[in-house]
Amino acid sequence: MRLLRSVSVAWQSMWDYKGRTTLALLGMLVSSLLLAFLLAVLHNFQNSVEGQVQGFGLRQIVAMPGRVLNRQVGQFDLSTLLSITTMNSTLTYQDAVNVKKQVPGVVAAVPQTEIVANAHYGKLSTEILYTGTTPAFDQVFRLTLAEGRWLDQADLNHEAQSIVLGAQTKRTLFGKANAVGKTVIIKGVPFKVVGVLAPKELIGFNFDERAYTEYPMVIDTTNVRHASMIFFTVADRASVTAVSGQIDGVIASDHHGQKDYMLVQADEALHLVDILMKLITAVTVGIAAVSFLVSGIGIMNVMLLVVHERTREIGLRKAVGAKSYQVLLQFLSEAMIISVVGSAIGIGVGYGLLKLLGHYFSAITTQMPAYVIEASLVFSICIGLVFGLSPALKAVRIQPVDALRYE
Amino acid sequence: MISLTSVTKHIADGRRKVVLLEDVTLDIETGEFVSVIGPSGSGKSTLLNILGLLDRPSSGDYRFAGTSVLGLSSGRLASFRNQRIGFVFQSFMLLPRMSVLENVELPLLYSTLSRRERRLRCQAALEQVDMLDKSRQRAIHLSGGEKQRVAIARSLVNDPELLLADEPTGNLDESAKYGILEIFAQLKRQGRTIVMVTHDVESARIADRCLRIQGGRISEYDLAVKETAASVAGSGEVPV
Repeated sequence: MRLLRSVSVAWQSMWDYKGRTTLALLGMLVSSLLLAFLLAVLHNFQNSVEGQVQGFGLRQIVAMPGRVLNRQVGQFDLSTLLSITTMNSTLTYQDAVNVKKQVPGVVAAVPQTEIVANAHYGKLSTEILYTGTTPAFDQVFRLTLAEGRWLDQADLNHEAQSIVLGAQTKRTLFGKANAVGKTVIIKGVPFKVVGVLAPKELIGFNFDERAYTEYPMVIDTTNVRHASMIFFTVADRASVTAVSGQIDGVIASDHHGQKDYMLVQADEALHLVDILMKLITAVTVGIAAVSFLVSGIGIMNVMLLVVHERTREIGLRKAVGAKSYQVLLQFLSEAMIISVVGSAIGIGVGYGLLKLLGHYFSAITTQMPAYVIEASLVFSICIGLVFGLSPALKAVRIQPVDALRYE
Repeated sequence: MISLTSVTKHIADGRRKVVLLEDVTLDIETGEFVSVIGPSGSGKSTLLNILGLLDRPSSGDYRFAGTSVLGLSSGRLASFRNQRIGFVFQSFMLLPRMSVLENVELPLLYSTLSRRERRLRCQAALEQVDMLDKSRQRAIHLSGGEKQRVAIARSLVNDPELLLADEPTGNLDESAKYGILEIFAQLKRQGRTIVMVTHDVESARIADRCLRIQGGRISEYDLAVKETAASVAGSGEVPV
């Protein structure tokens, strides 16, 4: 009997015991769902983060408050992350200006400072991040405008009280109406809206609930004195590490040798994301493996019960000519079908959940990578084989003459 | 066609050796219909299992159409059963969730026939037992007599050289029993080689000859001589 016929016989037998088959299938379904969904989410999350960091640009260096103790050059891993010491910012506008002047490899040095404040328009009010920066900010982040223009040098020079609203801020205060030319009040200062940003999602950043104005304006109208971050754009990607060293020298000199800041390169962030993802993936695969093991034991139990219940059938099949390998194939096929069909449904449900997740978190892509499907199917085939073997061998060992007498 | 020589079968029951068949020598010709009668536990089914290659004797020789079959591997024995022997069981042994057609098709699943050939053979076998019109029905919904008809169709579907029947009327009421005996009579007329184990005289009488088995030993039995005694006793059972 050909393999296909064995599979067909197995399929029909399973169909005859739908309830039991469904129960055994459920375990494998949940295991595959777990593996496929979590791996796909991790894959898509990593893709999104990498895409966004690359979109942000691999020529970027960010100066931020805090310190990594005893950090070696080129070392940026999980232990680095754990040894970051937070500090109050001592970064200043002048640090950015000095770096731009003294480091030729830096084409843009953009400080950012921010504080939570209320923005008012008429009777409407909303909490925003009142953010001060410089005109080059939109180039660093490749911002897109929905209305009007970005801040320019004239705004900075003349302290023109111009402001650009994030998409959510504009939506809250103006709804669908045009905001450019209108006046909003922040910290008691009337600002003329010159532009509105298109919605932008970048994991770790919030652009939409901000209002951007010139850096000195925020310093003048609040008690904030320091930059929360300074973004540097380097001319040549190959020289990012060298330029980072030069930037470090300039800022350290400004801070009288006090290292109360750190410089993070985009590829270091990517490396860190990669390490984190590998760690989480390993944990996920471990959990899924345990789940597969449990469902494998479930399949074995069900198959042992099936063999026991169908002793007379096995005897009959042998009496009318079934060879041992054909009986083995039939019961092994049953275990494999339960395993693979359960896995396939699990992958399908996982894909559905992934799409649902993508619907609510648009920053995350929703691809089901081929390796996830392959991994789930390979896992399920192995489980079907390993845990189906014992019941199948038990069926093979049944003697027809005993089975036909079996009550 | 079938030749058993000094066949013995014994099993161990703890330390005790239980003899099921003792020095059985038996020849059955092609086209012969032999019935085997005997009380419960006399060794009827053991004999049938050995003839059907479902069980091996402890000693002795068994030749099937000139071939000594006891040395064959279990795989070869399975092929032998599949192609050359048909079985009819007292308890029908149908798969209840399967249709009549699928039940009849079962032996053919282990042959090399195509699906179309299998279906044609099943239809022919079902027609022979007058069950073709119920071929789509599930076996579980059939009456006892119908189930046995389907079981006979299944045993015939491979066109076997030897048909073995173990108490084929044992689980049937009177009217169903006569229907089944009529089918066996037809098969006899077609020249099939049949061995039927029974403890029912009436069933045994349709055979060409009858063997009696008791305590594992076999002997020729003349039904004509004993018939009167059985009738007087008011029982269909053979006085053994």
